[in-house]
Amino acid sequence: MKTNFLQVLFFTFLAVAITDYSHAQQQLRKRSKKKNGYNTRKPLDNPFLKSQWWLGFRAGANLTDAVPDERFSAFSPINYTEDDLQKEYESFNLLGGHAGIEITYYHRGFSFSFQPNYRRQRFEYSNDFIWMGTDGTNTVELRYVQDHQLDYIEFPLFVKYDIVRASQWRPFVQIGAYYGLLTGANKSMEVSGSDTASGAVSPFENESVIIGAEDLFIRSSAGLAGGIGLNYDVQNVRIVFDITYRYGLHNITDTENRFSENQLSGIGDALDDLTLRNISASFGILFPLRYITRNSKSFDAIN
Amino acid sequence: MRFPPFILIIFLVVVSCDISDNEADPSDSFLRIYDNNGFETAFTPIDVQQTTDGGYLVLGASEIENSLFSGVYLMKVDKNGDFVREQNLSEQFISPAGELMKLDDRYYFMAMTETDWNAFLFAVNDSGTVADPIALGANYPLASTNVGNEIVFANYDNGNRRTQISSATLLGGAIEGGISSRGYSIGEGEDGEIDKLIVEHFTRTNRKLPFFVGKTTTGLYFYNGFYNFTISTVFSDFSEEPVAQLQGTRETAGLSSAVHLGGEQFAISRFEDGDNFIIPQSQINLSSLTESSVNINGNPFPELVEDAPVRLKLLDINSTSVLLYGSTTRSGQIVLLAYSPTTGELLGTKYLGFSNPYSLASFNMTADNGLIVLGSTSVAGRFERFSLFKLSADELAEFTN
Repeated sequence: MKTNFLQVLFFTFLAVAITDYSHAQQQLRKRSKKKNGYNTRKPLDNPFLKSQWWLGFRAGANLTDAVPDERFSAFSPINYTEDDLQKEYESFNLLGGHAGIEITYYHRGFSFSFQPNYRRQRFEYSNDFIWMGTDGTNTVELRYVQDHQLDYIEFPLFVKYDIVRASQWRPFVQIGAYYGLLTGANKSMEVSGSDTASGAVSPFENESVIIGAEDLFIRSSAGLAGGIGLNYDVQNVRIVFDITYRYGLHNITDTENRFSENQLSGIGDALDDLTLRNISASFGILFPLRYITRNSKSFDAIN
Repeated sequence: MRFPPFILIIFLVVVSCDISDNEADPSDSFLRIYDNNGFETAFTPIDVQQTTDGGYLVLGASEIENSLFSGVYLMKVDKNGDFVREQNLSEQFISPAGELMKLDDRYYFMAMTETDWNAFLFAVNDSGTVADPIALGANYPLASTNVGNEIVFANYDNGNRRTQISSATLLGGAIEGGISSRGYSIGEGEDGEIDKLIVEHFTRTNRKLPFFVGKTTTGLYFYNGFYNFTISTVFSDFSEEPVAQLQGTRETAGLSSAVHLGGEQFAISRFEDGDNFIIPQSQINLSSLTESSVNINGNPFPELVEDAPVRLKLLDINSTSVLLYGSTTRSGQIVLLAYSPTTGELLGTKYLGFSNPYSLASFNMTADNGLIVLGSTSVAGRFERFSLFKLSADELAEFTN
């Protein structure tokens, strides 16, 4: 229910934003029509010609690294060390995805870009356990692999700088910050291992279990972001490709619910304190909102 | 239509408050499973008490090689539930019996010697160090509790084939003024079946029987144990005959827990041929010599395991008396049921434990008005280990208000 509300809010925001800018575009055209007859300045000196609004869509794939700070486990070992319980995290190994819109204001090489998006980020860790008989013949080994899927509505804001401007190919750098709002989270767990005590000689693998994990994470995810990218202008359309690194600034684990809301705590699982790192690669198509007349047959965008 | 951006900013500020609030005291709420990587090792929890340093002392039983009896096992954990140390008294002492009683700054429990089944009272300090045990002049300890400085305990007097109830006052870690006792026959004749059931309770080769003891506010002592061939709740003032008794049916029906509420009002639970009933308000006629527990109607709880062990305590939660029943469900979870002692109304239910099967051993209030719940779980589906759930004051209030 909570998730539905946030999704509705997000898409309402997008709709309002698009309507808002369509309205702005209409106003701009009206103003341009009015002023065309009275503009006595040379076109290149006109500040109007040095700025542009871009609106478009973007989507891509991302990889996440969960970085543990303080470690936790539901197991408290009696005759082995706590280090044996530490989870092994895989870095940037599971593919996630994202899609959203981009609204960018460009002025003299600098751009301010708002890129709200819906994104799924995934990370994985594993635990290994072993129980041995005194004579060494009876052994049970278990390996739990847990894949976490976190869905966020994210509101990133970037400042971009076009390194090359007078070209169809315009590389840029961007830095910014983001705030993400958790809309859903799942864990899926696979258990495999070997059990010599039951007479088995080969490993076994159980079916994976999927559980809801929304209560294990706080709603917010905030951090800094930076990246590089390339704009390619085709007629009046801009194609954007960028790679962005996101650096989470805080623990995303809900410390209060670490044990109480974790359905896998019974097998010893407890989330560590985690911050997220993420690499996103995105493609976008942007449309200019302001045009000038170059000749009687066509309109060109300002860029 | 213009979109007012300040609405989005206010929204983001409000929802991001959880970043700064995301600091929880790890001692408030936790789950710990105490794992030993030994394949043959198994532990059975009995009771838990919070120590004055905020940590916990756990009494349990451990398996003994080449013996059907279980050994005495003590474990100390810190306030976050992390393991600190263990002590195994299994070479000399066996069959620890609950409760783990808290008197002043010490914790007491009963166990017996392996050679002649003599019962002893053990005192443990905050750090888990055991003092020299005190001989109780009884054997086969079944159950114990304390009312202030008075310890009430029951034992199986195998020589005379009686269940014996006793009372002793502890002062400065020693018994003051001797032990008062009275034994009641488990059944005339040489049946031998009842004796067998009791011994199997100790050797864990059959069902664990619901032995418990208590004292009413009017000064009557009671035990739940065998009397006249049945599991009965026997009320005694240490005179030759019981004051009253609530008889069951052999070992197949009887009470599984009882708390005196005042007058002739009791909160009880009972079992009958595998079924379980919870009765938060029941009148037991203390002037009638014999009544039958199977005639007491109550709420059936088919979700509980057959003949479920039930723990029942009258707790003071946020200055309100609450009856808290604890037991084990067929689905392998620990269930806590809170009832009002005045109306008998169910206030709330809490389930603990996921994934692996869990069963309840005991629970107690903690100094921060939370609850510590001791249970056992089958790690990897097969290795019996202690589990300790700590519920914060808020979590406890959530289902008891």
